[in-house]
Amino acid sequence: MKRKTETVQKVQTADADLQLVLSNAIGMTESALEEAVDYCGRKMGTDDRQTVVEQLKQGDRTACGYLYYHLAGQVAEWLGAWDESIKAVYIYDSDATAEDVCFGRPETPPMLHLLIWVQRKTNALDATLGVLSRALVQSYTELLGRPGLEHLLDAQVVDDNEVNNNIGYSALLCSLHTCPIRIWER
Amino acid sequence: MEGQNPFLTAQAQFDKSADLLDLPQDIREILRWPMREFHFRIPLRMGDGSIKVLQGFRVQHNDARGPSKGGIRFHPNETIDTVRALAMWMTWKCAVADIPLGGGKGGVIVNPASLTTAEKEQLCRGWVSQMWHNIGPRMDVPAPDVGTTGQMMAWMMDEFSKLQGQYVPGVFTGKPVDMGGSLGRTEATGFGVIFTVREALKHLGLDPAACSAAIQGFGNVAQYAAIGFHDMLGGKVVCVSCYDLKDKKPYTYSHPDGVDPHFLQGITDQYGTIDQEKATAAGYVIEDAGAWIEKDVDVLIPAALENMVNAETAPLIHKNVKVIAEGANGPTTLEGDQLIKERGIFLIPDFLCNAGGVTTSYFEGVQNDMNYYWSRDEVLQRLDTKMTVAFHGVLDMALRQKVYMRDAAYLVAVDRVVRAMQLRGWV
Repeated sequence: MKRKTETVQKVQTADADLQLVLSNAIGMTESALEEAVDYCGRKMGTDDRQTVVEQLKQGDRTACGYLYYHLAGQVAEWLGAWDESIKAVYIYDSDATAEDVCFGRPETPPMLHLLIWVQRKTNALDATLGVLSRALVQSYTELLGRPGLEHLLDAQVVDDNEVNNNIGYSALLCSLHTCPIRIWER
Repeated sequence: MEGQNPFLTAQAQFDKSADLLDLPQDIREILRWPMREFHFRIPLRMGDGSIKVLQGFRVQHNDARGPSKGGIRFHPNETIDTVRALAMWMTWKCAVADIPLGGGKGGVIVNPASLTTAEKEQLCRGWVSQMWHNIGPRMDVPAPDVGTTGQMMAWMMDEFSKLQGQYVPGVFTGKPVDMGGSLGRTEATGFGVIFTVREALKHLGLDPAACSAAIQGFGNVAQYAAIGFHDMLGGKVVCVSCYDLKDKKPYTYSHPDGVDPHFLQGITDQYGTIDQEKATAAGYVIEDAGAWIEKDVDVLIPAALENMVNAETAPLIHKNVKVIAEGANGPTTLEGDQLIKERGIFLIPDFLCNAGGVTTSYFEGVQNDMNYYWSRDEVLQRLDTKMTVAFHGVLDMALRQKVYMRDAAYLVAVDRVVRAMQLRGWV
């Protein structure tokens, strides 16, 4: 009976923790997206926020690239502050070759392809990433009005063991042709 | 990663081929190092009026067989040793494809996402203003690579043409089709993979129409490889793998009768994710991502990320696999490669298998020179001829020297470059 009570308390505590993460994540993603749109406008040489938003909605590759980069930096910083086991965060290219970018689909909506290097994988980080993903979609939809959007975050978590043995997604860190870009480190 | 020097790795790979070819020391000394390197600073006036000075490189590893060829990379972690390694790799790639070009690579240490569009254009023009005396259709022909685009090639070509005082489209390749680019470039790498697979199957006495393939990835290269295997060879594509962003994990999509790549393309959303519901309704089976490598097929085509066939995944390759065609760049780690070699699987190495891209870049230069442009079918027909001849050059070497196909490809490439140097009287 005592064990059952402890379990219920743990679940309740975990739920409360996740609620806290979610509200924090939503706050972060809302402001990060606002900043990312501003960044995008500055880089594209326009003060007209609506023009930027329209270009993002249309999936303009240049606009999305700027948004993606700025947002990734903010998200990585938030993750690093939230989870002490994270050692570094990278952006990786999900395409096979640079040719895919040059000669593949002409337009790509923003997508955060993150490679997260941790000391060891934990359920807590998985849960945090799940919450972060939901927060990103919610904030993105509210800001840019993209109903039906279900995903914005592709996060691959690799641990020390994988990095040392060059297996799983950690093998990308040794890429010669398309090396991931480190955007945050502890 | 950090600590591993890619240029030392490239030199070690060359040394191995040099030993097999019993090359004299003087020739080794030439080929172990780039013939020319340019290190230069590019001042960039930023949007806020400040000046930022960026570090640029161009490495011309060897141009014995023709003008240097290779991309320009804009990457924040770029190093001279990465550029050197990739320039050397381009020398071997052009030689193995038997196109009359040498190897080069360029780069700028910069994150393009941190620059405005105007700054990017200025950077491209600044790169050309530093290098224009040393590039050109008869000297060195750069192309897009990591962080650069077709639009950037158009800016660079324009700057070069201004400095030359005449229109010189052939100085850069990978330009947009409306600005001197070649038709067929989109399909070139994926179809090129299939031309080599077709020849490999013929060599092994296998009927392509009776063969099956498992393909990793569903990006540009993988999609056209799947279409080529299905439409051109009449073979069965058992599965493709694809990252599903809804579930945040990759999956393998297979079908008992073989996948229809056209159907899958039709149900792939703008994020590159296949619609699971529609796939399931059409009889597709959705499995874990790793399933592609375990499939009982004749041909495996890794056409996605680098280093994904490694010590962990290579032991899972099914015993019936007869051919591995490396559609991606560097999909196999050293450990993975050793296991493939031990298993006796016929390997088509990346710098031969995916040379359809650089071959069509060469065609772009040829068309620019002629100022006459081929139809898509003409381009692909010529690509087929080049890839087929290139494949057989490597196969002949593998059979003659009784070596692994990757080693044979290096031997062919190094030997061709050495012969060019000898014929020109350099050595």
